[in-house]
Amino acid sequence: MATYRRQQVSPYLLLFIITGSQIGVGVLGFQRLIAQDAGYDAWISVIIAGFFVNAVVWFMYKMLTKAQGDIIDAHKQCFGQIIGSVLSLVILTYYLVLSISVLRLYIEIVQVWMFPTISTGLLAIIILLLCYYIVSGGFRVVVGITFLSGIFTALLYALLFHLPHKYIHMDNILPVFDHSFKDMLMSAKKSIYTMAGFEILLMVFPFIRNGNSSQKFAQWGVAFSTLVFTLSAFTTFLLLSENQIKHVIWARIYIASLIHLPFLERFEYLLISSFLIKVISILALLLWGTSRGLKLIFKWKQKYTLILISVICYIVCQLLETRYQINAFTDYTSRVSFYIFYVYIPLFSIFFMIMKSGKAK
Amino acid sequence: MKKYLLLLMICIALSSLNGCSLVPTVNVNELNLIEATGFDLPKPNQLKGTVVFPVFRPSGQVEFNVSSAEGETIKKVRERLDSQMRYRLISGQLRVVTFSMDLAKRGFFSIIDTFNRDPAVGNVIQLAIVDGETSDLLSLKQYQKENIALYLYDLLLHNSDTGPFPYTDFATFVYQYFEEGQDPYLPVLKVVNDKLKITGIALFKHDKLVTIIPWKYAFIFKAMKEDYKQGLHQFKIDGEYVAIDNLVSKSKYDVKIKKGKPEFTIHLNMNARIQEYTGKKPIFFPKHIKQIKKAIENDIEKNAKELISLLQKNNVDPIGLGSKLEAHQRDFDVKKWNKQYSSAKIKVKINLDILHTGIVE
Repeated sequence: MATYRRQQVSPYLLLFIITGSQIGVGVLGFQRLIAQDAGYDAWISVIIAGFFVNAVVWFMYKMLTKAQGDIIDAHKQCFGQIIGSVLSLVILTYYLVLSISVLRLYIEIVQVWMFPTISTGLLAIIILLLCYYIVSGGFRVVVGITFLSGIFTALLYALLFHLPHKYIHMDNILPVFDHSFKDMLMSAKKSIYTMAGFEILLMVFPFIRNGNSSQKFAQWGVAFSTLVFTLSAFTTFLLLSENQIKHVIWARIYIASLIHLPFLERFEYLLISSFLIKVISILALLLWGTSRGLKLIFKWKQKYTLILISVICYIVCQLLETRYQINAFTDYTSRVSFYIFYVYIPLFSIFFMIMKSGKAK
Repeated sequence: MKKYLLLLMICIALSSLNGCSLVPTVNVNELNLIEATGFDLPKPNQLKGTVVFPVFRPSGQVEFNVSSAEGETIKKVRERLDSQMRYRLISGQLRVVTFSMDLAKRGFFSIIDTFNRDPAVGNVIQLAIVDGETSDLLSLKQYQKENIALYLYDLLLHNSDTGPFPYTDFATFVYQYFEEGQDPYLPVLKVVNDKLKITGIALFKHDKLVTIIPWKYAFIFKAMKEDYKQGLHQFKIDGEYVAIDNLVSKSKYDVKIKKGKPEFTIHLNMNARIQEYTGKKPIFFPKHIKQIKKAIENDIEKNAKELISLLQKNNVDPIGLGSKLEAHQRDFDVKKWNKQYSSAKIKVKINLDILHTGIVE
C-alpha cells in the first residue's frame, strides 16, 4: 500500500467519494420505480435499503483491511492469478456497464427535456473527452472533481426543501405502514440501482490514507446519501398523486418545473444543466476504477485501458436508442448489481476472512 | 499532450454548440410565442384551436394576433395554424389554456395530456372553461390593445391568491385528475356586456364537466378546500349588509367511521375583520359583535350545507373528502367510497372570530 503514498487522499474525502458516486441521475426518477410495490410507503424502503448498503460497506471493509489492497488483490490472494483475475474482470465489467448507463441516462434526459434533436454521440464524446482529461490527471484530480460536484449539488439538496407549498398534500403519505413488509423489501430492492455507486470503494480503498480506520467516513457518506434519497422520495410523494407518479418518468425534474422564481421561470433547465458536473464526477470515478483495474490485471498502461473503455462507452451509448432499450439496460444493470454486491461480496468477504484466519494459524 | 487535449475539447465544444448548429438556435423575434390558446368543439370529433401570440414591430409596438384552425387532433390544428404563419409557433410561453363548455362536457384530458407530455410547455399555466366560444373570448375587441393572455392569467391568479376562488392551475388539475377521491374543478369565464368575468366554478368527474356551481359558493368552497389568507365576503343580516375580510381561515377534517360508513366533520376556524356595515346599530359593543358573529356563522353554515348537498347530488367531490378518507382508513376502497359519497354524513362547524373592525369603531 505504501507504493501509492504520493497519490493518496485524506480519509474524510471518502465522504464525498461515496455520496458523490451514489447520488447520480437515478435520484431524478427512482421515485416512480419504488412506488410500484410499496406505494407511498416506499420512502421507508429507501431507509431499509440504506441499512443494507451500510452492511455491505462493513463487509467490504472487513475484506479490504484483511487484504490490504483493492478487490483485485483480494481475489488474487484468495483464488490465485487466473480465477481471481476473471472474477475481478466481472466486477470491472460491472463498473463499465454502470458508467455507460449513467452516461446514456443523462444524455436521454438532455434529449427529452432540453434538446430533442441533439445527437447522442456528440454529447457522449464531449463528456467522455472531459472525463478522459480528468482521469489522466490521476486519482487526486478525480477526487477533486468529486469534491467539487458534491458541493455544487447543494442546488439539488436545496431543492428537496424548497417545495412549492401550493402543491403539497400531506394526506398522500398517510396512513403510514399501509403495505406489507414483503412489498417494502421489494421496493428496497428496486432502489438498488439508484443507490449503486458505493462499489467504487473496492478500487479506491488503497488510495485512502489510514485506510483501515477510514470506515466511519464511508459509513457516514452512505448515511448521508440515504438521507438525501429518503427526503427526495418523501417530498416527491407529497407533491404527486399515486396514480400520477406512474406516468412521470423524472419526478424530480417535474417538481423542479413547478418552482417559479421571479428571475427564473424554468428551474428544470438549471437543474438538468447543473447535473452535468455530477455525471462527470461519477463517470470519472468509474472510468478511473475500471481503467486502473484493467491495468493491474493485464499490465497495460492505464492510458490505453482508459482509451479502450472510453471507446466502448461511446459505442454502446450509440447503440442504446429508445427509451425501452435504455430501461431494459438499467434494469439489467440493477439486477447484476444486486447479485454482485448484495450476494457475492458479503459471501466472498466471509469466505475470505475464514480463509485468512485459517492461514494465520 | 494534456494541454492539447484540453484545447481540442474546448474547440469541439465551442464549434459543435455554436458554429455547426448541431444545437438548433433561433432568434426570439423570429418566433411566434403562443401565450394563450382556446379549444372549441364546432362539430363532434372536430376541434377548433385558437392561439394568441404577440407580434413585435420594429417601431416598438406590440400587436396581438389571434388565429384559429380546425382539425381532429391538436397537432393537426397546430399544423394548419403553422401553414398560415410567418414564423414558427412555439408553446414555451403558454400562460392560459381555455376550453369551451361543449368540449368540457365531452372531456378534454387528451389535450391536457399533450401539454403534460411536452417538456417545452412550462407549468405556469392557468386553465379555464369558457361559457361560449373560446375563439370569441380570445378575440374580444376590448382587449386587443392589451395582452389578453396575461390579462386572463393575472385575472385568474389574483382571484385565487387574494380573492374567493380556490387555487387551481395546470399542475393542480393534473394532480386532481389522477388522485383518487378528489375531483378537479376549474373557473368558468364568460363575456358579459363585452367584459370578461369569472362566473362560477366548473366541477368535473375525471375530465368531464358535471355541473357549474354559482360564484356565491366560491367563498365557502375555498374556505373548506384550503387555508385561506384574504378574501372579502358580504353577508345579509336582518335586511342589513355586513362585509367581512377573511384574514386567516383554517380548515380541519375529522373523519369517523361508524358501522362501515364514513362521517365527516369539517371544522372551519376563521379570523375576520369587519370592513363594511350598512346597519344603524353600533358595532363596537361586544354584544353586537357577538350578534353579528352568530348571524354570519349561521349564514356560512347554511351556505356550506347547500353547497355540500349540491355536490352530493351531482356526485362530485372537489373538496377531496375521498382522499381525506384514504389518509384515515387503512383498507380504502375507491369503488365503495364512490357509492357511499352521495349519502355520507358531512357536518360543517364554523368558528368565526371577529378580531377588529378596522381603524375606526
